[in-house]
Amino acid sequence: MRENIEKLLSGSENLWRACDIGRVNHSSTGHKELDSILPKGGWPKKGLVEIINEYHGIGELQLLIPLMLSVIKQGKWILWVCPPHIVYAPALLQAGIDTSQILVVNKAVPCKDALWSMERALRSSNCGLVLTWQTWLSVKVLRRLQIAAETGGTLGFIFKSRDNKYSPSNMRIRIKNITAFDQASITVIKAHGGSRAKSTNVKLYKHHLQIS
Amino acid sequence: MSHTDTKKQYSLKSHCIDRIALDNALSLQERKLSSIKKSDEIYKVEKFSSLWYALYFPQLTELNEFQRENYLNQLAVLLKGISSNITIKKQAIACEVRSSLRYFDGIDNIHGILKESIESKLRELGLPKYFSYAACPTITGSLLLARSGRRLLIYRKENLRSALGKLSIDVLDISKENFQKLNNMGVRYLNDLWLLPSNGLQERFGNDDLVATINKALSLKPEPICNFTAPPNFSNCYVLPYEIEEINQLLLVAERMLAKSCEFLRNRDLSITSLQVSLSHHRELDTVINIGMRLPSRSEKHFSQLLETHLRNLKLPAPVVAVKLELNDFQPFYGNSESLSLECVRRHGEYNRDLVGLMEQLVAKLGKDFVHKISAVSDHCPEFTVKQLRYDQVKNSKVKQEIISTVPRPFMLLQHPKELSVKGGRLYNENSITIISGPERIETHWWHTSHVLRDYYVAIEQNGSRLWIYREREKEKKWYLHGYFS
Repeated sequence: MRENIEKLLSGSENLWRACDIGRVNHSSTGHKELDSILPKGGWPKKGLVEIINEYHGIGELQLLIPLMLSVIKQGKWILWVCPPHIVYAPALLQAGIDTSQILVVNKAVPCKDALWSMERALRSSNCGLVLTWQTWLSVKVLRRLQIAAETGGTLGFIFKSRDNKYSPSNMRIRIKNITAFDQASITVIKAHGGSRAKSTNVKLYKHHLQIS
Repeated sequence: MSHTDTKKQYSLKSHCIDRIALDNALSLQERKLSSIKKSDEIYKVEKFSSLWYALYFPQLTELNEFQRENYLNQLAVLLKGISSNITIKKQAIACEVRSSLRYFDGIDNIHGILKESIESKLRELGLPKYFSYAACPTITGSLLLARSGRRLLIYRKENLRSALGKLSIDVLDISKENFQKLNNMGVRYLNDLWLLPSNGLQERFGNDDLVATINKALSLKPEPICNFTAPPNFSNCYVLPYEIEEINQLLLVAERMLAKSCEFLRNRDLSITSLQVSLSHHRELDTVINIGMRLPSRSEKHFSQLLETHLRNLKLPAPVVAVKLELNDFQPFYGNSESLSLECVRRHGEYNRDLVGLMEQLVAKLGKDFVHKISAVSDHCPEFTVKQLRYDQVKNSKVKQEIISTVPRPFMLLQHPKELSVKGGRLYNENSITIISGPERIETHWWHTSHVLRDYYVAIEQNGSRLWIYREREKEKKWYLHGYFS
């Protein structure tokens, strides 16, 4: 039943839906499968997105490669706040990402300072993308970061291991692995402008094929 | 360059020249003040010709150009009290003293004043305190005389030729080849040069401007000078009417001072790359904050933001009684013009001032060692292929993509590889691991104690993590986790 309605809705061009407002303000994720389940066909232009990955190495950064490429192309910077391990430059180069516009804040800095720098970066219009790894952030802190992101028109990604359903961020995405190496299952738990959780399988590690 | 044998050979000639001693060209020390005053006509005749006093510093030879310039600038400031026309030449400073002769009552007094201050400055700079000096109506002439080490004073232009003629060609600033050439031609003293036709000299030694130097020294050619202007200096101290402990109040004071300093910079079309704020306390050492900037700036907002970040990081040992602000590293101000086309603006957005401001704030808050850029290095050993640069270091070489291995690499590399356990023939991290592809053999750094002999595999853990693991090929053949394909 539901699928039929969905089919009808997407099929007709004359139908206007409220969730389509501002579709132009969204940029494609670069993964067709993911675009199709996101409410406006891509990542929001500004705001906070949470990516919930229970373990490292699920492909959480692979998801962002097209976005990072477009940010770099615009001449903006990418700030990595407290990545859990060394950001490995050769891998970035393999994905086509120029490392000269990447700045890393060491994970040894206190949490307070990390959040401070994240807020500053989100507020500035020159940082195109801010990535951070945090285990737990209070709703108050998240709200503050979100306001900073909205003011600066910047997109911030938070990688977490656990979901918090009360989080105020614009989008919450869970990424899980299915047994195949180059695929991942993605669930959009929450997204502004979307109605309910949807999931899909996304092909990742595309550039690996090109290299080898 | 010593040419003792040639000098012996020509001793007869030099003896002849020495005999024709010049009345007006006596050593400075020998000459008495009264002798200058005696002949009032000299002043009348030479009223409009200048007299250049040159100081030559042979000890600067070994220093690099930047240091030399820096020292000469510092020394030239001392001459400001004597003359307003000062020019800096190679390893030497010349100043016009004719106009100051009457005020200082003779050249001896001028020399006395300068000698004291210059020697103390040289001591301060940690240099040997000797220098040679001479004075004559032309800059080049006085430099040649000073370089020769003869402390001569020549008042009249007519006497220049005979006085300079006695100098050896060592004093000329020419290349070794040309020096050898002159030597082979039998030219030992400048006197010999007077005899040669200037056309031929120009043809043979044109690249060293030999003829121009001679003509300038003999006052046959004008000598345009680049007048020395003392570098700007700004330092402002404010003694607070009452002690301040609150950072916010302190910021208000500092902002007032910064506003003043920015006005100074604007008026002089300057910008700075570093400033120093020192806070004085009662019975405690001063708290000194050094703020450096990557790009020269004169924006009040930028300064106060940086200062605020520094102050908030700081723990004051005691209430502040005085604030001192000092500007350093002045540079001419260049406004940045932006391109008309949007494309270009985007491309050059990297150097946007706001961005630089943000980066500087991050560095100020977190510390230099906690913010870094990354760069790839061409190396076979995985842990050496990534380099973490300090924010202010500029990446000098761009590693092309093809230099980096063609085998996929993980986004996240573990700083210290984690040992994996083997149970019942299966690999375990937290869950069991299945190898997907490999091995990639890496054998390098045999010249080091940390010999790398590894087989790398791409693997997948049961919970879904994509891993980059390796097995050592020597000793116990252990397995390690080295990265995550995030």
